[in-house]
Amino acid sequence: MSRILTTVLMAATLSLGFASAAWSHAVLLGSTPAAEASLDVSPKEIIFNFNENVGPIFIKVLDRSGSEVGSPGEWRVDGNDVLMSLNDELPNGTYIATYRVISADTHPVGGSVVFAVGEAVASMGDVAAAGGETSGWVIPVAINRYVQYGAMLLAAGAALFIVGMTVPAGVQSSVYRMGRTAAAVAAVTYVLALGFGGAEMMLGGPTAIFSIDAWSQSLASTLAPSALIGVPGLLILYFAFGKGPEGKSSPLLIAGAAIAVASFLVTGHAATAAPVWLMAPMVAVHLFCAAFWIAALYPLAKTAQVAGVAEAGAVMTQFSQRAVWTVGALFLSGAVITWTQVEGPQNMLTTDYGLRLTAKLTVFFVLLGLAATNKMVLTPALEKADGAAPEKLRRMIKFEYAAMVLIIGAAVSLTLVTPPRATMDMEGGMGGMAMGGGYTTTVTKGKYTADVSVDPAGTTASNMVMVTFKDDAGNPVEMVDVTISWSLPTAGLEGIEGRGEMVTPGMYHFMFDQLIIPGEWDARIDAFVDDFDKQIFRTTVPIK
Amino acid sequence: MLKSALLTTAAIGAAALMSASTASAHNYMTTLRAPAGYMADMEARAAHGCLAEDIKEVRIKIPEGVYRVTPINTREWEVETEMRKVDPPVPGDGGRPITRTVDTIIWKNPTAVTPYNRAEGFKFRAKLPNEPGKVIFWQMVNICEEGRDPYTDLPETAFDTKDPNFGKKFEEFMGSTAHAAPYTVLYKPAMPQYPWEWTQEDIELSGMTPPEQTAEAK
Repeated sequence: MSRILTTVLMAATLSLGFASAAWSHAVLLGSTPAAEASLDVSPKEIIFNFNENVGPIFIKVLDRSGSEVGSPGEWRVDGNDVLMSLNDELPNGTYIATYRVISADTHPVGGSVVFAVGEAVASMGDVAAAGGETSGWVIPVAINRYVQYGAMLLAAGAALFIVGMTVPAGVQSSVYRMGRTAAAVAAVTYVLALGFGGAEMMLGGPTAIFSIDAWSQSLASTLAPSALIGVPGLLILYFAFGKGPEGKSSPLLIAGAAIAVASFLVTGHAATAAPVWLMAPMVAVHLFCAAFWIAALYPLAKTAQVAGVAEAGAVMTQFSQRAVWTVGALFLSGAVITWTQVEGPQNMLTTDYGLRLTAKLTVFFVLLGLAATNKMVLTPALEKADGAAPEKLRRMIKFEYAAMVLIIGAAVSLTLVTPPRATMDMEGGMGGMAMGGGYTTTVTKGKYTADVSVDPAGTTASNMVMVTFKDDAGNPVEMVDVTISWSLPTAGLEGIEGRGEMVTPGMYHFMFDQLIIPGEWDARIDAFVDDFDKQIFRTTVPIK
Repeated sequence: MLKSALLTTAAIGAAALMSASTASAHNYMTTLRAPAGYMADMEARAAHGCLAEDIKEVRIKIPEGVYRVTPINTREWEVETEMRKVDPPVPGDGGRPITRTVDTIIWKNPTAVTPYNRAEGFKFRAKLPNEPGKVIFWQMVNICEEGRDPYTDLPETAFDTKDPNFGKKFEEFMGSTAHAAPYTVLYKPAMPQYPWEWTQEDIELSGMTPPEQTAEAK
C-alpha cells in the first residue's frame, strides 16, 4: 500500500511540476515600428507581436543616452500583441524599444528593436555593404572585369611580343590588328568599370548606373586612378599599333604596355597589399609575363599556319627561350602573391579565396604541361622540318587558349572575394589596443582563447564584431556555432543576440546596430566546439 | 522507505515547480522519471524549432553510464548512431565487457516537416545506471535550415536527489540558463526489472510464483 501511495504521490508531484515543460518560449515575430524603421513622425504607440500570448514585465523606449523617453502610458495585451502608448512625441533621433515578457511557459524573454524618427537608423546598410553584401551589379562587374583583364593583357602582351620577338612578315599585320582591337576594347572596359563598379558599391537597382551617386562612388574609389592610368596607356598602344609594322615604335609600345599594366597596380587586393614595395612589383612582373604568354598564342598559331616549317621552327625556338624565363618569373611572382594573400597552406582549401586560387593553380599546371610539350616535342619537330608539326602545334595552342580562358576567369573570380590576408587584417589590425574608435580584448576559457574586436566601439554607427578562436597552441579553431548576447544592465537592456558567420577558419563576423547607448556592455559569447561542448566567453566592452 | 521516497519526491517536486517558473521550457524528456538500473524506453521531446524555423535534425548525446542504447524506429525520420569507445570497458549483462557504446543518436531528413511550433518525440531504449537519486542530463540539439537550438547546458557538479540541498541547487541551475539539457531522475524501483533477478521479498510482494518454484511444486 505504501509503495502504491509513494508512486502516486511522486507521479502527481512530478507531473504538476513538469507540466509546463511542454510549452515553448515566446518568439518576437514583428514590431511597430519595425526593426531599423526610419519614421517621418513620432510613433503613437509601440507594439510587439509574439508567436504566443505573453505577460509583459516591462516595455520601455530609450534614447541614445539610455534615458527612458516618450512618457509611456500603461501597456496592454491584445492577443499575441503587447502594446504601449507614448504620450509624448519623440524628437528626431534614434531609439531603442526594449521589452521583457514572460512566455506561456513562464520563462522570461527579453529583446530590443532599434528605430529612428526623422533620420536614418545608424547606417547598418552601409556597413553591411562593406562587409560583403552584393547587388545584381556584381555580374556586369565580373563580366566587364573579365573582358578588361583579357583585353588589357592581350594589348600589352602584343606590344611585348612585337618588341621582343622576330615576327614573321606574314604575321606582323595580324599581331598589330589584334593589339589595336584589344587596346580599344580594354579602354572601353575601364570606363564601364567605373559605372558598373559604382552601381555595385551603392548596392543599386537596375537604373543605378545612370545615377550621379554611382559615378561619384566609383570616382572616389581606386577604380578612378586605375582608369586614369589605364586608358591613356591603352590609347598610346592603340596609336602605336595603328602605325603598323612599317611605323614600329618600340618606345611607344613599351611605354603603352607599362602604363597599361601600371593601371592594375593601384587597385585590387594583391597589388595594394602590404608590403606594397614587394607586392606591386610582383604583380607587375606577374602581369607582364602573363601578357606576353597570352598574346603570343595567336601569332604563334598564325606563324605555324602561314610561315614555312623552318621559319616557324625558328620562331618557336626563340619563343621557347623567352618562355623559360617568362614562366619562371610568372611562377615565382605568383608564389609570392599567393603566400602573402593566403597566409598559410591551410587556407588554400578552407577559404573561398583559397579554393578559387587552387582552381587557378590547377589549370596553370595543366597549361604548363601543354607548354612543356610544345617546347620538348613540337619545337624540336619543327626544327627538324617535320611537316606535321605545324598542325600539331596549332592544335596544342587551341588547348592553351582554353586554359588561358579559365585562368583569367579564375583571376577575375579572385577579385570578387576577400583574401584571408585581408580578413586577418580586419580582425588583427588593431594589434590588441583600441585604435580608430575600435576596441579589442582577448578572453580565455580553458584551453581556448577568443580574440574579440569591436569596431567602432561607439554608438555612431553599426558595430562590427570579429571574434577569432584559437587553441592553446595558437591554431585557429572552427566552431560549430557562435552567438553573441549583449546586455547593458544599467539601462535594463538584454537579449540583443547575433549569430556569427565564419569568414576564415576560426574567425567569425557579426554586425550589431542596437548598441546605441554608451556604457559598459556585457558580451557573452557562446561557442560550440562541437554539437555539445559549449565554451562561454564573457567580457565587458566600453561603448562610447 | 516511505519516508525516504516522500522526501525525494518532495525535493524533486519542489525543484521542478521552481524551475518551471524560470527555464523549464524547450526540449525535455517525457521520461522525467525512470527506474534506476532498468532497460527502459526513453523519449526526448523537441518542444519547438529554431525560432521560426522547422526542425531538420535532432541529436542526442548519450551520457556516461548509459549503455545498450537502441533508437526506437521512427518512420518519419532517418536514424543514425555515432559510437564511442568505453575505456576502460565496463561489465555488461552476462559478464561480457562493453567496449563501445552509442555516443550520439541522430534523427534527420524527416519525410514530413515538424512545424516550428509543434513538438515531436524521439524515442530510444537504454540501460540506465543503477544509481537511484541520480539526475541524468541528455544533451540535445535541434538543427534547422539556418540555425541551431541547443539544449546542452549541464550543471557543474552532478545532482543527487538524496542531497538535502538538491532542490536549491537544481533551482539555481535551471534559473541560470535557458538552454539546460533535458533530464531524467532515476528512482529506486520497487523490484528488479526481470523475474530472475527477484529476491524473496520481491517475489512475496509481487504475489507471483517464480518458474523454478512452479517446477519444484510439480
